[in-house]
Amino acid sequence: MLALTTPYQTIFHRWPASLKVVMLLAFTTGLMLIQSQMLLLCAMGLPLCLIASQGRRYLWFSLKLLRPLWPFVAIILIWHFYTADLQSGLFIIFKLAAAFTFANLVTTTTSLADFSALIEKAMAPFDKNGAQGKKLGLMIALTLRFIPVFIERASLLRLAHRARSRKHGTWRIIFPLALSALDDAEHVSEALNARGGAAPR
Amino acid sequence: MIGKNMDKTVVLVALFAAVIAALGLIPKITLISGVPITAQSLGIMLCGTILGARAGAQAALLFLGLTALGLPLLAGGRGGLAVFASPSVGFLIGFPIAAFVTGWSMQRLGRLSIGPASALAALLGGIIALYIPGVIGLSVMIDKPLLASLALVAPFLPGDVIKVILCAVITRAIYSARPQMVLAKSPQPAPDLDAATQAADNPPQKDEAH
Amino acid sequence: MADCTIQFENVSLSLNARELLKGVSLDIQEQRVGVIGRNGSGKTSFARLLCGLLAPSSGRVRVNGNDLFKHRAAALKTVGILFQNPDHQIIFPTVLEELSFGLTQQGQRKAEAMQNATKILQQFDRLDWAERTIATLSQGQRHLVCLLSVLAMAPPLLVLDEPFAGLDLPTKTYLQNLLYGLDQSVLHITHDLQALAEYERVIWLEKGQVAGDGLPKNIIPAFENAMAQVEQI
Repeated sequence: MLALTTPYQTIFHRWPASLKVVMLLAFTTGLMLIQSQMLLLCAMGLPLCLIASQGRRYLWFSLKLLRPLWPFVAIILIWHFYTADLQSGLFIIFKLAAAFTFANLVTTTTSLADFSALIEKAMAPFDKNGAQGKKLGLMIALTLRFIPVFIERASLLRLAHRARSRKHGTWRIIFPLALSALDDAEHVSEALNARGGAAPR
Repeated sequence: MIGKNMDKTVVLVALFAAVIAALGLIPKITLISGVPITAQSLGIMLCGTILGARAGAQAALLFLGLTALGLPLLAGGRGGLAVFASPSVGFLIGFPIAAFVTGWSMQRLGRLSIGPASALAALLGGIIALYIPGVIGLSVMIDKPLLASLALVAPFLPGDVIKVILCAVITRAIYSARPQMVLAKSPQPAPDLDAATQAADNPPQKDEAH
Repeated sequence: MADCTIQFENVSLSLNARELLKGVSLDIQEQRVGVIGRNGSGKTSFARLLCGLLAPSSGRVRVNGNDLFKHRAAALKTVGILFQNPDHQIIFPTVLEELSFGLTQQGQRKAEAMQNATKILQQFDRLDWAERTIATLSQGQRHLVCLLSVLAMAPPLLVLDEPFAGLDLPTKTYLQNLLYGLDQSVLHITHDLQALAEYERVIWLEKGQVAGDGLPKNIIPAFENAMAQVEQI
């Protein structure tokens, strides 16, 4: 299924989700407050060392995850090159990379089930009869259920379009996709109603 | 009969969150300027014009929440907590705000016909309400002045204007195809309870095609 | 065999200025009942009234003496419905979650529901399906998941609204045989007249009214004759 968790086992997989999230929050908050370059280099080292401790393959996997930062790194480097202030440019880049890396560490070692359990626990004090939790649980399940359905439908629509036109028309499928979502909602809510609905028991 | 309304809203929010995710996989179109545009923010606008302010924002939030939990739902297969540590975090936070403002505007623009109303709503929500947190976020994350950040994202604006127009066209088409389902224009979340049960009776005929 | 009585007392249903059912009165106690009719004859409305998803505009609908529209908790314990398209009914991304849902709706605790859901998978020899995602199942397999989710709730009455359209012959035969062997009463709405050959009673709906009601060997040929003479659709 769709997930970003890493296939490589690490000790972080066994750490409780709550611990990892708290560590991430503490780390990113600390990062924001750092002013000195030495401290920043140490801060950068932390996630890197944690990751490296789990093996070469995990390290390589984690570094590849940094790809989306590319355009921003380029912009910052170019900018600071022009203002002849490469040092502060690197400062910004390292902060971004450190936070990004630590966040990826948490994401790739925590399953959806663990996150869901964490959310349930966090919501418990605010959710007396469990009604909100039930609604949220249903919505998450429904979305996960229908993402593959809509992905497949989108590709079928694209095929149907290509069978009748020389152009790509990738964006012509949005209307039928949205329409089918509305129709599906009609049926699914009826089926949901037939099984007791989303209301609290 | 609040139960039935709630069921419908719960399902609509969930399904539209799934639509936004599916839209992330539509290949990007590259404009003449060389700037790639993705379909996801169009999905956010549609959440506002079709579902309304509250449900639309909920769909966007649900989408964001699932992305935060690690699902690779953002265009390009990105996901996880890291996207909130990226310079584009402001735009992400802007998603539910954009959906809300779009839906809110749709409800206020009741006097206009659907096309112009959704265009205006999408402009207010999908561009203005999205770019404000987006540019602020960018500014903070790369430590540059606001105007500079605005200049950095300006190349994406023409693409977003195209999306506003598309949103209007699509919303109008949806409205004429399924008038009773569009939550945005009704003051309450779908007082069309009867319409819902009627619709439940009618579509099965189309199913024969399966 | 589970007992089930269905009563329609002069039931009419109008929606959107369209009369879907007109003065339908039926007393059903048979275990295997078929409902046939053209598209638009009111079969779908009939099914939804039966399950308590709709209320009649006039008249009364009772299943085992209960008004299922008003009493949804009783509805969950009394009737299960299977629609035509599994993608319109399956709510959860994995099989076990889907099966457990109805049980938690009936009041079972999560752990208990999962246990009972696993039991029914075992009963139908599909234990390996527990962790599978719906997306990896074929259409026929999804139909089975829908059936199992309803059966898990153990309702005395099962309403089937054309659930097998579009399936290939072996899958359809497999599912139909499964249904036939069930303990519960089955009310089967279908275009597939052959499937109803062994049923105890067939009801023919036409333009919202009962046009025929009796044994399959009498009603079905009459229906086929009438359909053959239809000149316009």
